[in-house]
Amino acid sequence: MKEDDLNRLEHSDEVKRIVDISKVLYDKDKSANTPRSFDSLMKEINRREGTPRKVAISPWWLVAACLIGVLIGWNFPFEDAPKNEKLALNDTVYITEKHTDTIYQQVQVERKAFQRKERREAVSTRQMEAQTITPPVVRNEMSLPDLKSIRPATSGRSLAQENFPIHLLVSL
Amino acid sequence: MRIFRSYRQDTDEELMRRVSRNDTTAFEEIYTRYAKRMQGFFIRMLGYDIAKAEDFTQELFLKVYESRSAYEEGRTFSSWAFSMAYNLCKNEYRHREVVETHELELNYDSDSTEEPAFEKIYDQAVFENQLSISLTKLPADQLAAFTLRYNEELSVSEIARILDCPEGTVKSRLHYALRSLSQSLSMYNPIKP
Repeated sequence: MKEDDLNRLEHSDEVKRIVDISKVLYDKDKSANTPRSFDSLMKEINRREGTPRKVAISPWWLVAACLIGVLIGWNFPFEDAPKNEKLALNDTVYITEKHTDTIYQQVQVERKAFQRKERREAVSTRQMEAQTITPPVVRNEMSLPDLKSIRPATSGRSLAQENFPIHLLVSL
Repeated sequence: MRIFRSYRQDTDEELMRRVSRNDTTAFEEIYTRYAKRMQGFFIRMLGYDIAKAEDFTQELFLKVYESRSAYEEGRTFSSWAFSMAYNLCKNEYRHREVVETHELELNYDSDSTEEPAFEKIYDQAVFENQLSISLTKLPADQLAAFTLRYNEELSVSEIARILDCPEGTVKSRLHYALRSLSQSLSMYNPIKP
């Protein structure tokens, strides 16, 4: 019954006009009053939840930032910039560059010559030791020319022939 | 790629599924679609108090976001949101009843019972003004049913879900609302002989 009454009312011209005008007013109210921004809503949500607002970085902003970075880098004279090479100016020291290098030089060690030298030193040390332990008389006898030596002297004669009489005289 | 994806093609329900997974962009799309509608509904339901309607719109979307995980799949977002909006209005009416102990406060100063001047009877502006006044004088449940049916153009079954009552009750409320408006505006309506 109510449904029939409702249909009848809805189709009457009077009610149709009321409905149409109320719709126009409703739409006018909606368009005249803009709701608050979404950002303010999110701020309120974050405030209630107690979380800091996330910074939303648009990918387009990232691309733009990269392009600006490339342009700045392209035009910046990194290599051609004149360097201030002055180290001191009016009692003020400007340290422009501190650089320390360690240079290693490769040296070739002569192995054989080194060994020979070592051996020579060892022999002379042994001789020195022999001299220190030999008594003077024995040393004198040791210094006498070997008569049995057949080694020729520089003059062509044997060593004994060359030196013997003088040695005798000196010892006597 | 998700960053460049637009949600404009998605349905409200798909967007709400994303919102329940903390997708802020989907929530922004929902807000863009519904903020004006909801604010218009609040303006009508709260007696043309614009500042209060703005507050209520923000409050409603805060509630939508807070209860995003409670959103039931399969339910239309519009009826869910309107039922929350209507509950907010009902709370406001209760609050007003306690504070003022009388009907909704009207922002319009003119008295509808006053006899209009003859030349103004058929004036469109006067009729619109009187219609606004008459609407604010309707009981809240009838006003909600009227606004949702004839301004938001929702079906009777949807309105029944929003107002949480049987469809017959919705029809009854609509009938009373139309009859009441028709009677109060009869002297301003040029169509009536």
